[in-house]
This record gives sequence, structure tokens and C-alpha cells, in this order.
Amino acid sequence: MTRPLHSEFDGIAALRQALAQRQVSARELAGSALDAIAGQAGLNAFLHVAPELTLAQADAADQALAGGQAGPLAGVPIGHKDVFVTTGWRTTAASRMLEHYVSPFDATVVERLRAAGAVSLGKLNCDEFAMGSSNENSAYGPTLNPWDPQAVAGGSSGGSAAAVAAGLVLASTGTDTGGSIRQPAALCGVSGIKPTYGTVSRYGMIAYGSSLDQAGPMARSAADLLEILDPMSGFDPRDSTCVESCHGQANQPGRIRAGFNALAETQPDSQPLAGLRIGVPGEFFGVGLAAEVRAALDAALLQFEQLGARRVEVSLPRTELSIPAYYVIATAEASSNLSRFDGVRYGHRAAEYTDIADMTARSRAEGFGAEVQRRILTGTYVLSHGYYDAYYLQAQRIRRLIAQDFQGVLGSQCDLIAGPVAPTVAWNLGEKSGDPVAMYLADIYTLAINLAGLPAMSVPCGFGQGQHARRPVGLQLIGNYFDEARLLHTGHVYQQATDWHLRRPEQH
Amino acid sequence: MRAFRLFYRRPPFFPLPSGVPRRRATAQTMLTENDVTRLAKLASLAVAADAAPQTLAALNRVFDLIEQLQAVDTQGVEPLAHPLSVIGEVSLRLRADTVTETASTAERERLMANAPASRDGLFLVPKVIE
Repeated sequence: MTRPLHSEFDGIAALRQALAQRQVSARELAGSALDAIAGQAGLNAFLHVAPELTLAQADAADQALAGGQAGPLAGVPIGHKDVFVTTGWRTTAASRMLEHYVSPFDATVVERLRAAGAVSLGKLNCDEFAMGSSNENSAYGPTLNPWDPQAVAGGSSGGSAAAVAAGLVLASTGTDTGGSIRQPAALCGVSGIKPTYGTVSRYGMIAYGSSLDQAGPMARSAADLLEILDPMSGFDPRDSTCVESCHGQANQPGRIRAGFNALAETQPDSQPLAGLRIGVPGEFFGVGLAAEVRAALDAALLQFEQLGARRVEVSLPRTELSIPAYYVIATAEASSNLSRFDGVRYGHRAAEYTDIADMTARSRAEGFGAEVQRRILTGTYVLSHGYYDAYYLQAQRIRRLIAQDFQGVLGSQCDLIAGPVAPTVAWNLGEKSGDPVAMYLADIYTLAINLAGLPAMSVPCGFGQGQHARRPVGLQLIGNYFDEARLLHTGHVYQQATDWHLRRPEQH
Repeated sequence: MRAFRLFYRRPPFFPLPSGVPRRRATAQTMLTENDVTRLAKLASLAVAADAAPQTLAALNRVFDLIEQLQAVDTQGVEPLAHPLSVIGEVSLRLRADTVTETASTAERERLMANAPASRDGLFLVPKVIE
């Protein structure tokens, strides 16, 4: 099987240069990516591919390139997680509820990347309504991990991670409510960043937990993440929680790139991370962490020290409480957000019913999968009369304590926090699907970051051992609010010194 | 993933430092099948009768986990709704109360194209008034 044309380039910047010099056309790139997607249909990474729509976008990019009007991503092949609504391609949120849904408008993220010239290859598989950590909650079957088809791809943005890992696209969009960008990125050996809450618009992103949801890119390297995140972020009046400024700087494209360039210019080549204090929380290296993951992380932390960074031991004492706090807040918000699916205005409607209440109840029971129903019921309980204070408000108070723990460490003790993304490498398909709580517990290192709204990134830092030798390990870097540039720069410096991000799976 | 279940029960998944209270030793919230029926009605979900025991068991495992929150002393702590309010005042914007969409039959039809049943610009539902 041949690899698509874009995989011959080091990254988005190199591809942009080749496109500008007309060494390759957007149409050639799109055509070869479509062929590769068809050839790897067994991965189940894509839920909807529409060659005519992709080729039309590619032709528009070629015209813009020929006319000297090209945006920074003109011709770059990407894919969108199927929770971003798109005109043309169906948007299902990997649910039966939205099996035939076609949006009358594009999500802001989709619109911005389109305006920058990126060419969409289609919609990527995920857990239903982004609820899950393995992609097994998709109504259309799980995405397989390109490194090992016996293993889960992670979730919820499993298709987004697998498509990049398999080389089907150069980058993809994902969403992260409790780790849904970082964890599949780690399990599939790609890079992914969840930016600060409020920096990227949620307009047109099908809502799960609105105070936690944030969109971000997934790609082969930190340098490519910058190429996608910078044009994708920025203030949007259509999202009421999107911020207009980030510590006095306007929230707009160019902000993160300027910060990245400033860091790159001021650092000496020999010690590019000189002065950087990396906090290592003891709670992230406790008894639940697999030895093989710990070994890869220890090596990565040593590498950071060799690059000039200083390691600082820190404490985040409420790490364990992030799991119950998250599963109260996220389910409460989900039960509210998903009440819009009533079988009237859009979505599945049951074929048989007795009256309007029965129609809604049956339509929802048929349209939603088991995990989505469990989370709706949990959320309904914690918001119900008599329990609101005990669960929802209590979880929000603990949320503040968790956010304050980070503020007690970031800035005063360290500049970034480093740790694992997930306690283990990718597990086997089916291994945890019978026990939702076991799956919840594996989110221990990512949930607190969403509760606090901080930016965090996952970069590949090694592999498991023995029979896990082909299952990647990810390193998580957590920054303070609006510090995306520092995360990306640190990841980039690490990737200049290591080659984990350059490893590619064999094609199955 | 048996190991995780064991870890989070006793001892905890991560050893808690002394400042963090342990889960309270009193009885857990145990839902009954009646609760599931009540919740399903509130959530407008027709949970099939044969799925109810399984749903109940799963929800009880989830609540066993969530119950840990009750043991934490949060007296005087303000609930946090918008994460960025940790570092400063956050006010949610309101847009001007003006019509922004183009009012036309074509636009209406475009916006209603996903409706399971519609006619003449109306969403159709079963009869609710005799």
C-alpha cells in the first residue's frame, strides 16, 4: 500500500513551501489522501468521506495558490472530529441519534480552518457525543489503533488520533472535555493540545460538558500543532464563554505564534530550555502508574534536564478527587445539553409511540447508546431536587480547590507541570468495556486540567515493554492559563532532540 | 481492569495526603429500581424493563465513586462554574436582542431540513389536544 503524498513532507511548513513552489498541487494531495483512506477503511477512523467535497476544496486551494491569495494552510489535508458540525458532510457525533444529520452551518473551528485554506478529508470517528476513553462507545464501531489493531485508539477523539498516526491526514481537530485530545494522542503516538478554556470557539461543537469542553488540534509534531492551533483560536462572539483577551493580549490568530517565536529567539541553542522549571507532581507517579509508562516518562524528564530545564518536585493533593468531581459536573451538564434531542426538530424519531411524551422517551432510548444514557441518568440525579447542593454545588466547590492547587504551584514553584497522560499504554479492545467505572479511573491524570480550564499537551515519549513494545506512551505537559506558546515550544525543543514523534506504525 | 477497582476502593488509587479527608465510612447512596424509573422519567428516557437491573448496577458503581465528594470539607469555598474565574472576574456576554437571521421561506426550509416530520414551516408531533 502506498502512503499518501503528504507523508513525504517533514511537516506543514515544508508542505506549504512545496505547494507555494507548485511542486505538488492540493488536488494531488487530496486525491492521494482519499486513496489512502479508502485503503485503510479497516481502521474505521472516518465516519463520512465525500470525495467531491474534498476535491472541490482542494481545487479552491490550488486556485488561491495560483492567484497568490493562499491562506497559511492552503492545501493541507486535515480531518474533523465528528462533533464539529459541517455543511456537506454528515455530523453524527458517532450516535444513532444523528445518523442522518446534515448541519445548515459550519462550526467556527471548521470555518476558520477552511478560511486558512485547509482541505477537509471528512469526519472522524469518536465516542458517542465525546463520552468515552476508548472510542468503543461509537455507534459505528471502534476505531482501531494503527500501531496494534488489537488495541483501542483511545478516546474520545480516537479517529482523530488514529488518522494522524496512520498518516491519512497531516492534522485533525479534536475536542477535550476530560482528556479526549491528550489521551488518544498518547495511545496512538501523536501530538495533541487542549488549549486554555475559552480561547477556541465552541460554536458548532456539539456540547457535552459546556464548562469543560475545548477544541484543539492533533498532529505529528508540536510544530504542526502550532500551525493548526494558531489560526483556529480566537475570540468568537457566538460562544458566550469565549474570551476576548488573554492576559491583556487580544485572543486572535497570531497570539500563540508570536509567543512561540519569542521563546524560540531568546533561547541559546545548546541549552534551549535553560531557566525552565518543570514541576513533577508526586501524585501523578503513584501506585496506579504502570512501570513501563513510568520508565518512558523518567527518560523524558531526564531529557528535559539535559536541554536545560530544572526539575522541581510539586504536589497536587486533590488529584484523586478530580474523578468524582468531574463525573458530577460533566454528567450534570451532559444531561442538560442532551435534553435538546427530542425527536422533533432534528435527530432520530421512534417509529412507534402512543403520545408525544412516549415519542420523546422512545426516540431518546433508541437514539442514545448505553454510556450516554448512563451519563444522562447520573446527571439527572445529581441535579434533581434535594441533591443539587450535595452533589453539583459540592463538586463545583471542589473544582475551585483543584484549580487553586494548580495556581499554588504554577508560577511560584514551576513554569510547567509534566506527568503521564494515562496510567497505561493502550489496552485491548473490549478489555474495559464491561465496567464503565474502570474506564473512568484511567482518566485520573487528565480530568483536573479540564476542571481548572488549563492548557495541556501530549507528546509521544516512548513505547511500552514486552508485548506492549508497539504501544506508544505519551508525556503530558500542563501550562498556566494562556501559556499555549510555552507548551508548544517546550514540546518542539523536546522533539528536536528525540525521534519518538517520527516513528510510524507498519501498515496493516 | 481489576487492578483499578481494587486501588480506588481500599487503599485509594492514590494515597491521600493527611490534609484530605478519607471517604466517610457511612452507608453509600444505594439507588433502587424505583429510583431508576423516576430518573428515566425525569430524563425522558424509555429504559427497557429488561435493561433496568443492569442500569441500576452501573449507576450504583458510579455513585459509589461520586460519594467520595461528601467527605471533603468545603465550608466557605465558592462553587466554580467558569474555570477562568479563578484568575479574575468573568462576565458572560449577552448579544443585542435583535433578529440576525434572514427571514425567508427558503431559509426556513433549510433550517428545518433535518426535522423528522414537518409541513408548511411547522414541526409535526402527535396530537396533544383532542
